[in-house]
Amino acid sequence: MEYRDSDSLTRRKFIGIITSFSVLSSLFPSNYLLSVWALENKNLLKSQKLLKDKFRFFSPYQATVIEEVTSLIIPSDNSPGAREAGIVFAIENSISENERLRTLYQKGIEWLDFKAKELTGKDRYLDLNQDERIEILNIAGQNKSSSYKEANIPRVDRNTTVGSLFFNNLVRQTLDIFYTSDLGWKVVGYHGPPQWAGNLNYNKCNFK
Amino acid sequence: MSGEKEVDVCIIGSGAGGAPVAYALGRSGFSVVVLEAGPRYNPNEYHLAKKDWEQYPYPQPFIDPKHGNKKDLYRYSTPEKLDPKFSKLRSWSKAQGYYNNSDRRRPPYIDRAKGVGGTTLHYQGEAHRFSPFGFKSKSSYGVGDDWPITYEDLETYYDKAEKLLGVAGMNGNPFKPPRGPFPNPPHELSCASKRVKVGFDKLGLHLWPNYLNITSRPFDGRPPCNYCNGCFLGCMMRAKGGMDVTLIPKAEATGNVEVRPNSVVREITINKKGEVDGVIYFDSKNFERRQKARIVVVSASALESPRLLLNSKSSLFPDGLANSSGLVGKYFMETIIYSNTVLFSEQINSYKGLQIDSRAWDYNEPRKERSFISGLVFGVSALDLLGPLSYAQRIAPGWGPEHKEFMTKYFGHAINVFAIGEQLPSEENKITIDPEIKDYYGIPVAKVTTRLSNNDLEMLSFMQGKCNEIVEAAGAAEKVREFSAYDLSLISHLGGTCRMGTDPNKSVLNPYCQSHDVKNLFVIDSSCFVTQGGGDSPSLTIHAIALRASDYIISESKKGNL
Repeated sequence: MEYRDSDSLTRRKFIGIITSFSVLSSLFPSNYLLSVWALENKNLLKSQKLLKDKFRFFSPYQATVIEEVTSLIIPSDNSPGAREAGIVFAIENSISENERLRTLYQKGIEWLDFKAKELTGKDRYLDLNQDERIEILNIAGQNKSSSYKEANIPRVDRNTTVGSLFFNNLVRQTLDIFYTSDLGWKVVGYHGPPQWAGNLNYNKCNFK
Repeated sequence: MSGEKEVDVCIIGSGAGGAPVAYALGRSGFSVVVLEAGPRYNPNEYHLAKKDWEQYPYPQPFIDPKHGNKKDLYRYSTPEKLDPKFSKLRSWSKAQGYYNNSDRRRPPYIDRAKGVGGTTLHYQGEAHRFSPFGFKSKSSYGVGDDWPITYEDLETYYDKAEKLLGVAGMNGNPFKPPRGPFPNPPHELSCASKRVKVGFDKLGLHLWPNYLNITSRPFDGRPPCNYCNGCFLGCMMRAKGGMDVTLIPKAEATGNVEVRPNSVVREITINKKGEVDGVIYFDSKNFERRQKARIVVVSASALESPRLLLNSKSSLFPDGLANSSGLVGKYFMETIIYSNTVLFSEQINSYKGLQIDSRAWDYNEPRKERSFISGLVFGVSALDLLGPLSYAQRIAPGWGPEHKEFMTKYFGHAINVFAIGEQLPSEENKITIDPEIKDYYGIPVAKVTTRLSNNDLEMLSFMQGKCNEIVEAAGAAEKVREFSAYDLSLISHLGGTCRMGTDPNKSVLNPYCQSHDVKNLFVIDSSCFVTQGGGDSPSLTIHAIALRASDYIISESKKGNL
């Protein structure tokens, strides 16, 4: 199967989206902005394509897999999700200096491909439709107690433990990054960090 | 071993007990050295102004990195088997299932902080007075033991501590004794507390503005609180009156007090007369040093103080210093806590405000007619749900559309209704020394043995039932999490390991925190507690006891008795 990359989401486009969002958000109410954003980007997200950006560690295929998986962890609906927050770039930054994590991600992606073949006969994870992708992530997510810190990464990349270690770590990292970003905060309506502004309106309530 | 000039007083620990003593004695002209095991923190360097502030949860940054991991700080006995009769108390969350799937209680997680200011670095600023009945447990209710002092003995010292710190509060609590005005007005309730108060009101309970060592207006050079809700991550504003920003600077300003951070005491030494004559400690560069002192005050917490005494063995005290009674480390009391996390359908902005801005003292006084005889206090708090990441990690479904929907719908809607109660003292609950395990400095670590009694379990059961009634009456939409001391041991308030009393055979300290065995040795922290005051938080009582003991040290020194 071929992947079209002519319309891929490049770093420049990504930064452009985020910048536009930030500037516009200062002018318009957030709900309105999020609706406009969703409408404008519907087509961009519709087709499967490989990321073209230069990564220090990830190959275009690996980067695209990570972005696709994170976009299922925090999906884009009527508001931005992991894809728009550029989680894949942040993850690449975080693992580039950590050999153990790099290995985990590499093995984890191999496991996704292996599982795709095993369950559907298709060659690679990106060949799957969304339901099939989620089915594999559910398998990986069943063992929630796994943490890459607590267990050695097995050599055999077909073991579900690899998938669990990888996916649970990816969920944790995705949440960590998304909910400490301006975009994530805007999505949930949070105006942080706690200091130095504080919450002087803490006692002004919207209920009777 | 390097030595230093003898001082009048060497204080071990700079927290709730040590800081008031340093302040009081420094003001009176005593030369004082305070040895603090942890570093001195700069509030400007706490993480609350950073984007990733939620990734630095407590205990960071308040654990000395040299210790690395909390597990290196202490050990514990094999936890008890869970009583299936109380299995409804199992801790769980809708998102994560049961927190403890085993048939045994989880080993203790003890909230301690090492650093100048001690555990007040991360405490939530609660400034409670124990009620008069809290000192008379045995004679009033037939359980526990009586203190050798009364509320009246401490009252003037409670006043003094509150004035020094600028405690904010409101008079008129029907469950507390009459008292004078507070130094600062109360903080208005947060939206979350106002919303939950509906439930308390319907049940005839009295949710009251909490008494807090957090400024409600400018006070003594500290600004008023701006309600960031990050108290236990370290107060950048200095609005929370931790000892690091209040009594320690005041003590140092006397010119008589020197605070030495990163100084870990290994042993208290005695002379041939059986009096303490100083301590041996590791300085910030790990050099072993000696500090001579005329008087030694141990204020290292109810965990570390008995550990130090038990590790200070000699031919005169083969079982540990000041331990002729055999009671050093005994009668350890942990924290009996239950919490219920609920969602409200409307936005209550529960991440805004103070960490625990309201309490209800209706059950503070023990009652014989209940299925248990202990006091407890209810409260409302965001606790650990401080920002979006906390919600995502702790109460939201793991990932996918359900996760996103939860986060966008419920952020700011979750609140904890909880209760903290007192554990009755038992000689079986104790701190001992694990001879096999040593810390970074080669000092044997403390071993914690704590079991819940039937009284504790019945109290937890009551807490659960009442918290459920409260949230239902308040109209909460859904319960998403419960945790309790039944299967998790979450110890934030601890005490009782060097109890005070008048009988040297039944106590370690006299009513002024002075060792029965060694007249120039004092233990001034919650180790001296006989009971836990019906669920009230301990810090203000520690301050009051410390100021009272300081007056005693001053007067006895003047008389030539020390």
